[in-house]
Amino acid sequence: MTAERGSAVSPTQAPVVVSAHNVRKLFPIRGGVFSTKIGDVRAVDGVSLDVREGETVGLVGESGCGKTTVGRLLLRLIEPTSGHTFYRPPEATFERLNQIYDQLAPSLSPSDGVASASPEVAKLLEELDGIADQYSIYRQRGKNLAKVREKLQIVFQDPFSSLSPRMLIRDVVAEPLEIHHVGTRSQRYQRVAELLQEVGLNPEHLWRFPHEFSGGQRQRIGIARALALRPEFIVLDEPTSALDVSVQAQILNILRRLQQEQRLSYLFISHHLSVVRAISHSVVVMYLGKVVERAPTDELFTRPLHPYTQALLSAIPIPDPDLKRERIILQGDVPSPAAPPPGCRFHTRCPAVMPICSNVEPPLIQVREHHYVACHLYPDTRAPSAASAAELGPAAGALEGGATVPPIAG
Amino acid sequence: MAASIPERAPAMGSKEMMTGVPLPATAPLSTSTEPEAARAPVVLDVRDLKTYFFTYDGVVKALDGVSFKIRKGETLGLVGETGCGKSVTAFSITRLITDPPGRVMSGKVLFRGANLLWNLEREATFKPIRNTGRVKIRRRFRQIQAATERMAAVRGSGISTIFQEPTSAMNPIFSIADQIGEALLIHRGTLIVDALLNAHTDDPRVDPAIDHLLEIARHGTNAEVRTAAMALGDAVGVPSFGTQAYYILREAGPSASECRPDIIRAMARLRPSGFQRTYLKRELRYAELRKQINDVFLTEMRTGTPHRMARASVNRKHTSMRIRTLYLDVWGIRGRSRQALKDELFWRTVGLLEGVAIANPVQVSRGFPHELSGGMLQRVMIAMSLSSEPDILLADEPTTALDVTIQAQILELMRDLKSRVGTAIVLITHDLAVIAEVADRVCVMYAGHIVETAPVRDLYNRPLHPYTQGLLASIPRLDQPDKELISIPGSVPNLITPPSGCRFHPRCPYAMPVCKTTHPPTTVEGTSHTVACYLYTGPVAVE
Repeated sequence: MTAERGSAVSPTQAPVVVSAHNVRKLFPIRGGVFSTKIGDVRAVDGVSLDVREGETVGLVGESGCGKTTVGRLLLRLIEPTSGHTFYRPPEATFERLNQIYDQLAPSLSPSDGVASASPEVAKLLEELDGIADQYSIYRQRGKNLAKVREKLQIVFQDPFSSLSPRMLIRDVVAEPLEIHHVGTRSQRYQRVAELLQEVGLNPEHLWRFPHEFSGGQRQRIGIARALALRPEFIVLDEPTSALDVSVQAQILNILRRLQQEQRLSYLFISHHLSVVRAISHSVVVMYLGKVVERAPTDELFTRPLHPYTQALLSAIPIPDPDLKRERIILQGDVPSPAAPPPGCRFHTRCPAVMPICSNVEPPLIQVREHHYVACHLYPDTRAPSAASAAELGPAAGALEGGATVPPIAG
Repeated sequence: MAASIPERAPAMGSKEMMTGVPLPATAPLSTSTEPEAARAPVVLDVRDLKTYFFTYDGVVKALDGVSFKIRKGETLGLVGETGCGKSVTAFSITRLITDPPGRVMSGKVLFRGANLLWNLEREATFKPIRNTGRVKIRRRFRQIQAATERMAAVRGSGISTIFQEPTSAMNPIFSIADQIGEALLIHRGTLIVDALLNAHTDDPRVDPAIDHLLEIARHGTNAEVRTAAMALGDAVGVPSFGTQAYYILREAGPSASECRPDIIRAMARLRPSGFQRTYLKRELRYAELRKQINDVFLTEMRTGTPHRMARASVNRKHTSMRIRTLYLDVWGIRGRSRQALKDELFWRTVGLLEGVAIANPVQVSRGFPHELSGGMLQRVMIAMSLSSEPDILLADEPTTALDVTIQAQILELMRDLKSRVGTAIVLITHDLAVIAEVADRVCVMYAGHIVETAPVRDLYNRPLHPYTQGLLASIPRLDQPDKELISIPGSVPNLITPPSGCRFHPRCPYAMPVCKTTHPPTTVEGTSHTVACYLYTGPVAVE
């Protein structure tokens, strides 16, 4: 189901920086005479992903699929409806988290958290609560939260509206330092000058206003601002989609260099798959608030499994007139997330649709090493209970046996 | 640089020939290098087009001598970075530049032999203000008005435009059918009204056609039902009635074979009442008048001498006013007298929307722009531009605002239309990958100049201008994941004080002293491959 995630470690053995588990965000739709709630937009519906140190995770999907909302949830710029995002859980805790979520998976109903409350499940939830209190960014408050926030930053999509037109560049970049009371004023300005240098701007630019810069330069300022607090994780929300190709290459090169120098982790949100391929280590494909496929970049682009990923890849034009490809043209548009189709959300446009697709939602399962897909075309060979029992040993086996939850269909 | 490119003489018909590696000047032109499109007649010839914007900061020379040609059935890609003048080119051709601040200064746009910029010298005078770098412009409004009026003969029926933002290009207060219907009435009015007035519902072929249609509807496939419905439309003499009958059957679903009364009832719209006939006849007169006036306008532009067309102009204004009020006045007797025409336009719209692969055209026609997604609206825009069957389609970034899956749908549609209708397409985009998919020939623009023109394969396999090379090196490619992205240093120059000489020289890795002083001439390098750069020393291209 939605909570299903692999306990297998990512290709890089580096420590996990940010790990989202079953994060869900519903936006209420209000209407009627008294603006009462008449429904929900299921913007993000149980998304799980990990970002490791020095890794770039690409997040792709069509507009309206919830990419940006995921980015904001990971930074707690908006509050989630449910789920947790853990910041730097120790490796042992991270392993345990995966086990807990694997076991909880069958009892987490897609709509509203926990469906069945058997004692075993309650016990697991209690343990999860304990870990969450310590590591989940949604449970932190006050100074603790501020400390976490320093390490999590964002670069926005539109460089024309993300910089205040009334502030000097020096103040724009120094603002995060001021908020977090870093150094003295002169130290802060010293740091700003360094930051501008790092992103390829001159000290003379300190005394200018945002309107004096081109789109590419503004995006560099946005990056400098995100780097000010020496973060560990940066959400890049379509950082190049407002830019020309030649400038896009400049920005991508800067991002790559900074990652190598500072071991930064990125979540690179984009609808432009060629850019994602160029910069990411692994890719998560979203459709209507759900993760449909997750794999290392090369694996995903050479062997896409989900029909949606295949269609998405075949739709990308390649700048080579000699290359003519067979193209899968999807019919119709993305359905509204306020009323997502039942079963697999992609079944209304899927070229390989089967009867089961309109009834049963496919779980995200591992089909190859590090390659996860949510599609009925790939049968779940690994029976969920058996697999977790094997991993957890006898104690967990007993726990599993006592649980009343049925195995997932699929 | 030039020497590093091997000058091979490829064997005839080899792959090199196809990709357009230059032939020695003496080599005979092979048919394989010249696709059919290259021998087709030129439909649009733009020569030395200059468009300036007069701002408080100074004169922005947005287009500084742009020349290109498009042949029938050809797709020309216009590519370049933001601010290089791609959209300004499209707007200058259709004379949609907002004035003030912008003005087309000089040049020729030859469309079917008529120069769309015939009256340019008379429209305004320019006087530089001393020591300021600014210009005092005196516009002659009657001359501008005359020129604008005459553009109505070209816009839509001759040159049609798809704008970048479909949401802002549609009118939010009219339904889709009303907006496409208006375009249909303006451009194909005579045809539509004439068909409606001469519908023969009593034709002996009609009854058997209905029987046949109902028979097919019982157990035929969708395609068969459609064919039968179209045959009914032909029997009546109004093709849109076929579409209507098809959708009546489709809505009825399983009980389609008992739809005879519904079809008979629908046919009532083809027997206009006395009031309606009077109205339709008047509409036909106006449509014919519009056509005549447009013909006069075109001849006028062809000869270059403005007629004193006072009467015609007044009539023209009158007719366009009537079209504008047609859709506003829907109530009362006058509204009812228009119903026959409105129904006809509605069903024609449904037919057009079918042509652009919209799944439920009846609902979409009744709907309003805000109810549709970006991709749907873009298809509606394409349907509208093609409703007049234009010779040239100017597509200004038609897929930039759309997702890749929808973009693939739209590109497929444009390719299909090109092969089916033979429309010449000018595709404006910054996405070199889209160009590679659709275009036959490409013009690369930089800072108001065309720096390179080549057949599409030639351009991608052998880019000549350093700017084109830079652009191609900077795009990440799905099929080459390990490619290093090389960016072009710097950014597009300010066009108020553009760089002297070649406008690319401050960013060019091969810049030479001569580049800073004089603008390079456009030279021919190989078959129909031209470039404006001092690195190449081919013969100077002749206009």
